[in-house]
Amino acid sequence: MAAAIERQGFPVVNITAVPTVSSMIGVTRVLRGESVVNLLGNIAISPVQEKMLRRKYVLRALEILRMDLKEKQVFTLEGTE
Amino acid sequence: MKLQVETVEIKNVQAGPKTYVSDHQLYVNLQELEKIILADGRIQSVNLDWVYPGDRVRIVNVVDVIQPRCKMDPAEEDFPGWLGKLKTAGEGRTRSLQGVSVILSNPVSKRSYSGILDMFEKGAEWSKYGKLINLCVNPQPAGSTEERDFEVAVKLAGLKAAVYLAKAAEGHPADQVEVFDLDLSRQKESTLPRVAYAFLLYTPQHDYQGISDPVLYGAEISQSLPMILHPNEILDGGIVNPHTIRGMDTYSLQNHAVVKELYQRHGQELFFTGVVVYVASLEPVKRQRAAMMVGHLVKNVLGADGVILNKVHGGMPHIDMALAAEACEKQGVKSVLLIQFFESGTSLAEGALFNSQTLDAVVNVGQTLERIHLARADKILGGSAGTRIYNPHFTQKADDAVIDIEGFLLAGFHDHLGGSKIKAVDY
Amino acid sequence: MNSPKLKVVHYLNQFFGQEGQEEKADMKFVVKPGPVGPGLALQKILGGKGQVVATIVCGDNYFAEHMDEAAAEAIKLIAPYEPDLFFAGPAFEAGRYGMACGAICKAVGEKLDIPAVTGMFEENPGVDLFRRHAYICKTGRSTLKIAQTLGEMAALAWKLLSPEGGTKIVAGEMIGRPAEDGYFSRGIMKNEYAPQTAAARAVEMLLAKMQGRTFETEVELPKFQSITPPPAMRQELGACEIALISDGGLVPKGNPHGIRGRGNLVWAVYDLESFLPENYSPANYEIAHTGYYPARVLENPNRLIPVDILRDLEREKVIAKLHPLFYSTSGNGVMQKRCEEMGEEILQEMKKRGVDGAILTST
Repeated sequence: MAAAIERQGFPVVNITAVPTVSSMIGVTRVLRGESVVNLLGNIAISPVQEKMLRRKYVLRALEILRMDLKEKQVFTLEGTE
Repeated sequence: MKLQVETVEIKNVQAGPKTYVSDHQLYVNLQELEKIILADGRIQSVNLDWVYPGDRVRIVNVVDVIQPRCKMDPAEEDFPGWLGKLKTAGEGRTRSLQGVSVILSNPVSKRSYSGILDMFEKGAEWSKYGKLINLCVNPQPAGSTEERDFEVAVKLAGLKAAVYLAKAAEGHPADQVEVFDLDLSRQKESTLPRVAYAFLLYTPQHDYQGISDPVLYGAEISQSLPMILHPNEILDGGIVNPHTIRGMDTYSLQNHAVVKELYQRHGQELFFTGVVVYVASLEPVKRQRAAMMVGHLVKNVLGADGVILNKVHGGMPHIDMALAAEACEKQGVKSVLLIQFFESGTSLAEGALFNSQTLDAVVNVGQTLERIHLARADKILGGSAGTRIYNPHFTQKADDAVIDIEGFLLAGFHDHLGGSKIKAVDY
Repeated sequence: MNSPKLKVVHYLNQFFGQEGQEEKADMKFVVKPGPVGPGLALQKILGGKGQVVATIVCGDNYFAEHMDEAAAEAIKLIAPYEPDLFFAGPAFEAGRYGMACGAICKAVGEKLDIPAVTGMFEENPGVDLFRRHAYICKTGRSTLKIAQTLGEMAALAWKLLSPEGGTKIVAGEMIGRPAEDGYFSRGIMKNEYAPQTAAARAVEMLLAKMQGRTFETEVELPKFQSITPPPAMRQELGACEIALISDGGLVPKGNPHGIRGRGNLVWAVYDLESFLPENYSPANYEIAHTGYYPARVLENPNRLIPVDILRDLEREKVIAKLHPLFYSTSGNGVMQKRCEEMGEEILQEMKKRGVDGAILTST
């Protein structure tokens, strides 16, 4: 679905724990998440830390929505894949 | 390591006061087996029923199918880590029965996918087990037994039955002797092309209650990093199927098609350099780490020039497998992948979940969710007429006029290990 | 040779139906008894096995200008004959004619449940639109080969009707393979029995690949068109309205819109204030997606759609607004085409409501 939205020129960022599939289909703004079963969470840390982690992801996603991209990219929290 | 499998063909099964095989007839004292199974306090009672090809019987709640096998020397262990003590599987002599299998049911299973087997018409025609004489093992839990604990007890009951039946053939001449003799340390002496096998053995994405099932020497491996196994360990009970049939079961592992195919050609067209076993990951970083390690083990430790990769049921593991294959290709190891399809309303190309250019050699094991229709049975074993049979879109019961199921739930039909001839084709 | 003659109905456009040329392109449907024009050649080919009982004819423009109604009209005219088989055209390269043939074949297949066969050249727009719904034989450009093409169409039709036709198919239906029987693949897949096991085929393919011999992969890998990255959101974040979309199957308990856990076709909209309030209860949700273990998301749906964070960011004025509606669907085993359609439909909604950018979470 992200590919269809992007083809119409609308800014969307796809957060996924299987970024290779999104990238293969052509999605240009892909942000790698934590886990297939827990995309923006982590049960190994405290709820407070988990929320802080989720906030990092959202801010990263918003940052990506404001980036001019020349070609497709898979982003991570820290950088790119 | 050298394994010798001595197979006795069973042509008929009869009840008798003693359990033994004579002239390819298997005589069984089921009460004796029942006692062995009931020694496990988690099991209240157990139904043991023989079914023959052509019987209008449907077996439901099927959680595994096991070929009767036992080690022939007392120093060896049957299904080590499960029934037997921990001892490396795959050496010495193993007796095997051909023509009979154990169909294991868990009548109180709450897992959503329920395997079935029909002994009549289409279901039997399509399944390789529908042509065998089968012992249906159907234990009921003792009152206080916890759900998952009972699943383990059920598995052990099935393995015990498999060992018990094989032991009956003691002293009977073998109809076929297969020797699996492979010294991995000698691969450098060979000038033949070196082929390894990378086996994605487990995926945690469907874990029941989020807990992984044990598979390797009685251990669950969903957190394991890639490891090397000798192929004989797969053939000789080192790996037992998880608690759900999904196009794979213990019988198919005991007869692992890719392993046997490589063995057949070993020493002639190729040198079989060994097996890497790994699992699918829910986390992207773990997925990358596993892929990297598989590539390294295949190339630098097993010294392979080529590798076959396959996987268990699931969509996500295609990605894990594709990344592992790419890691191999990057190091100059040629790869062939076995993939499955999920959706009939697309072409094959649309159904693939990867498209890296180096993955240009792909075999497919079929559209394992293609729906099949089965007629009504006269008798239900392993459950009752009201047992729910899984269908993604509607509710149905075991004795409905027609059962509509996805093919991977019919035991012995699809085979992720490459043993069936089913192939999905563009139409 | 004593089986009853099969009843056949044939569709032709105004030209082949001998009514006229372009000037007759607007003509409405007429029904003529027996075969007409190329239908005579078809009748010869069918011989004693089949009888063209009627030919329906209409103008290319008439059909093209209201395809759905025209197709329905065609069915009304065809059905009374209770045909066993339907042929249309062949249309070769003619675009409007191809669309009409394809549309009528589709309707015949769906409503009358009989084989519907036509023929087109690969560039005919009717091919892409109708290949999944009709049996479209591959033709050349030239209409001079019409007799030969009709022969091929008839041969395919017999295959479709005969019980032995082409079956290596596992589930036992009768069908011929596109490559062998000269028709455009219908974009579906079926299980067949190959002569060797997958393991044997894999090892042979690997040896060929290792030795540099040619081999044929069983699965051509998909090719995807590259997408130009959409321009970034222009305004400062503080002026942006951000929407959340997910294909992880998150729905209210009871799954009121019937989103399917696999092979889903629909999406739904939920008002976030009531759907995921700050004091949510895990008991109020379901995951309509069978491809992953759902417990973590059910414990805290923010793990799939980060509503808690976006609410905070709105409060802190980092963003202008969290779009009040959540667009939810399930992406497990969904056909690519439907996936794309859903994306476009959701986009229309978001645009209507002034969303500046979206976060789409997938499992």
